Amino acid sequence: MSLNKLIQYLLIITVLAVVPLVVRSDYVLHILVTIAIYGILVLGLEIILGQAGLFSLGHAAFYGMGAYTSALLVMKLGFPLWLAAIGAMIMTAIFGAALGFPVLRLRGDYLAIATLGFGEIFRLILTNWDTLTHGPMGLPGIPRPHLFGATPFNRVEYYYFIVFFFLVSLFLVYRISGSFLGRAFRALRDDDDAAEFMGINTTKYKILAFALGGVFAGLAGSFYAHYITFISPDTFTYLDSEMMLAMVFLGGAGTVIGPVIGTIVLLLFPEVFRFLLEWRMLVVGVVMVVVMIYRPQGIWSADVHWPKFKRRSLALAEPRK
Amino acid sequence: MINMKSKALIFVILAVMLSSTLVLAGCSGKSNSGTSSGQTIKIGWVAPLTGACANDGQQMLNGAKLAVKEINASGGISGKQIELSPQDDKSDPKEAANIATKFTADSSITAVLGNYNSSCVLSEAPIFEQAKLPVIHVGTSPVISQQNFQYLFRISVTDAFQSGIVTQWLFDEGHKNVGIIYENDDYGRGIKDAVTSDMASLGGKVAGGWSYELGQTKDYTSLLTSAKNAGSDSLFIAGLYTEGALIAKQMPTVGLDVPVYGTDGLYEKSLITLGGSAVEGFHVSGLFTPNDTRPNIKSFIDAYKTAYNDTPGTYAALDYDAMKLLAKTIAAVGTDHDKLQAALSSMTTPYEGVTGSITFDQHHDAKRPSMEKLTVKDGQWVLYQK
Repeated sequence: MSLNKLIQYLLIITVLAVVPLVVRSDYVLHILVTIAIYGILVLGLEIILGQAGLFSLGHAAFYGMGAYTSALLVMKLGFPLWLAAIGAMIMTAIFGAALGFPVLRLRGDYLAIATLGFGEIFRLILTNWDTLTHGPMGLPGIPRPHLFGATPFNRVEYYYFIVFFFLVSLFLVYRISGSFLGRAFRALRDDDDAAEFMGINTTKYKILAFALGGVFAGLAGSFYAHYITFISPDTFTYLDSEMMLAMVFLGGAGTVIGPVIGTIVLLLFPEVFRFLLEWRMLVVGVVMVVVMIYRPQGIWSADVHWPKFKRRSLALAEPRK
Repeated sequence: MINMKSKALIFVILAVMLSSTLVLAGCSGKSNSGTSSGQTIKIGWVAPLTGACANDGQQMLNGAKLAVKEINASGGISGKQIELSPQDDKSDPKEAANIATKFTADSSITAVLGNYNSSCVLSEAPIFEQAKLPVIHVGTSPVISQQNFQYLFRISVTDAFQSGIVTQWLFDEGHKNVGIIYENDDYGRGIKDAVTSDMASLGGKVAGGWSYELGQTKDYTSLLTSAKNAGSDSLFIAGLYTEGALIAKQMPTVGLDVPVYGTDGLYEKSLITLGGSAVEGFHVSGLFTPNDTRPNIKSFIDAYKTAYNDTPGTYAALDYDAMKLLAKTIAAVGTDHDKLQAALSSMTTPYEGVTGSITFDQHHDAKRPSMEKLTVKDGQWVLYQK
């Protein structure tokens, strides 16, 4: 890592660390926490959808599974919180892999429908398995985390916590994307016959993509449950899967940072336009349509060159034709 | 080149993060400066204005707005005008949590008129509780009472209370074997459980319970056939009016001809519009009838009709009452959150609203002496007469 890059990273971390000291509003912190939660979620989907090209419409189910697993482990079995969060991640990884198996032969639209079905089955299980999940009434009163002492987390502590996990997730996904694993995923996405011919075990990598994506969703879900302290089946609906899908595509699938930008845009716009009441989502819809017309590859995609950089990099990198 | 790109990338993230924070901080900063000592008293309002429950949400907003208009026209609360700050929660608990933090971060908000969906109430409750902001909501789930939130007040009736009244009613009419068709969520199941236990304690029987999915089930013939085969002598619909109308229309197709009972989820003008002659004779409990002739109710209905060119439903009346009650309490004890909470939780004389007289019990649920028994006659909601 060059010194220059190190400075840049430190700068970002400093900015993120200073935010709660400057911004005293709980609301702003809450929105930033929400962005970080969704950021982690969408990074998971980025592995499944952006890198490996597996069209998943069931990501909210992994999110919900993480939330419920973590909440139930703490409330029913008295697990410590950190252990419950790990439990949630293991659970979602197992179910991610389990979902990977039956859908191996499916591609594109068919895969989307199968994962959609998985999401609905999960929601129906939450609704109907009363004795475990408390049914549609949801789980109120999930304990908040404590750190060195008796007082539960306040919003600033939540913020630092989730921003830390978000940065770790971002780093991990970035590393995965640049490793053999990421290249194997992208080979699968572009042409899985060719990938298999090149010696990539498609079965293994497809399952791995779902399992990895599930782990991130499990982490986000676990955090959400202990942050909001109430979860119910209608917190994790098909609409949320759709929203995450939109975040990935709007930001730019396959670019790691793109989906995070998509998340920021799609979470901030509805908040900023709150004063429009019922017209708000219409405006958000229009923004999405416009972006998709003018940048079908997403806001951030592999071909991004800002004008200033373009000229210089062209001059440096390749001779003009 | 890679370095160039990552520079651009980092620049973009920084720009987006920073500007967003600034925009948001700017928004909340503005509202923070206008504290409640200003010229207006700000009341937060949150319920669904989009999505499956938008109809009732819009009614609530209309009711609250009408109350605000009347209070402001008569000089406001000790000279201060009331300002409503409405937000749409889309019936989504995550969205509700966002709105709750927005309200609690805004120190100019005196109190909140709250959510329609019980799951939204429950997801907001810890946030309001922590910020000690009083909320009057219209959720119906019994789980809310079990949690004993100190700053939450429920102005609607609980499912258990309503089903008790309706079960007694149908038992008195001579029905001893009721079939229950319920919505598969907290609302429907809460009512189903209450009816089942009430029926058992009265000495009647429940023929069976059959569930459907809100907004998804359109074909009820199989449910109705099983209800018929189980020998139901009456039907209890624990659900909302759209489904109620569909069920009523499909009953003749399976040859099921028994009286239908339900709670105020069915009590809505749209039930008649959607169901037509099929819903004739439905028995429903309600808090409020649009053809009531008592003067305070009549003046509310007339004012609502002039303002919105529409007949008010239960939820319009509930939020109208909630707003008026809040205004009355603020006028008495001021805008301090703790004093408001104390005044609301220790009301001695009941508040006489358009939905009847209201006090709050130890769980902060509205205590009401009774409910109206209503039925559909010639395409109109009328008071039930034997």
